[in-house]
Amino acid sequence: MDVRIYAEGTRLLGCVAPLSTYTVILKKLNEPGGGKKPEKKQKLLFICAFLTCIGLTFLILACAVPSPKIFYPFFVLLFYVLSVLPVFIAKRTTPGNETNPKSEFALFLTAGMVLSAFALPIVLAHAAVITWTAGILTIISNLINYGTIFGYAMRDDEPYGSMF
Amino acid sequence: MSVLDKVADYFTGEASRNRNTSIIAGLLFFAGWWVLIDAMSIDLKHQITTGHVFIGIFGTISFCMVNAVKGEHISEENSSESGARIAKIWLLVGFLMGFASIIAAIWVMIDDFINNEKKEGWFGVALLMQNVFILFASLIYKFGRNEEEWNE
Repeated sequence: MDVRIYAEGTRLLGCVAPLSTYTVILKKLNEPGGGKKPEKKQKLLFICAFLTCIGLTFLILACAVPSPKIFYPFFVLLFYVLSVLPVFIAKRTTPGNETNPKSEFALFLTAGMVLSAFALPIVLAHAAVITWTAGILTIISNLINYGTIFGYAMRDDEPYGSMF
Repeated sequence: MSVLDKVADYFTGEASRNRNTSIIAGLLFFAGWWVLIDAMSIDLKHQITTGHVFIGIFGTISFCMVNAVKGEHISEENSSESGARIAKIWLLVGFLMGFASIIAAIWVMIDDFINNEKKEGWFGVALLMQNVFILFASLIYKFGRNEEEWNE
């Protein structure tokens, strides 16, 4: 059983990894010559794409590893999208770095959505809808993906990051 | 790496008290609701009824009421006196609902789940944890933020 799982996992990884590196190379080719330190930007984009690919691979493994193939771990993708949205909207309506009630409420919702993405696999595994292996793999995938999102938001070419 | 420096500065700079408070309040509030969702998902015999969930909904309404009133609404510089009075009554009712939901959760836990042989005790504890988390989140969100930093 284990050999088949590893084969399936590496087959999935082999399909997703070239896609992400291809998009990074496309971005590198379309970039204008200006901007600061294009090699650093490319390196950052490459690291972000690679880590996102690894995170999504763990998510696919969480759905593929146990013997009944259950797709419920994919619902954390909804929480990924919902967690980025409030701060994005708050930053668009009130630009600048001073805090105000709107941006603080947006941070409140963001923290809630991040917690929900971690709580959903735990609740599903506790209720025996998915196995604990799938739950732990989903949590690892969450850690990698949220770490990538946060690290990208905190990149140092703009003060305080353009997203937060 | 400067990304780590920026992350450290994001959480420990001067303007970050409001941000940290909002994040902690968000984590607590949603943790409360997820505790209830977890308890209801392992509850096969429907021991947690709709009335029990309403205690948490009252706590959420209390959260919204308490945080809708800003400090400047009830300060002495407010020009309309009846507006300040209404804001104070609103705040009072909000706090009353919050504390009433805690009292109701303790009552339900003891009376309906621990002293009752037909129901398991853990669901009452989960209800109490949910309401305590929601109340703490509303208190932290209300009192942990410094309102002078809002330049609107």
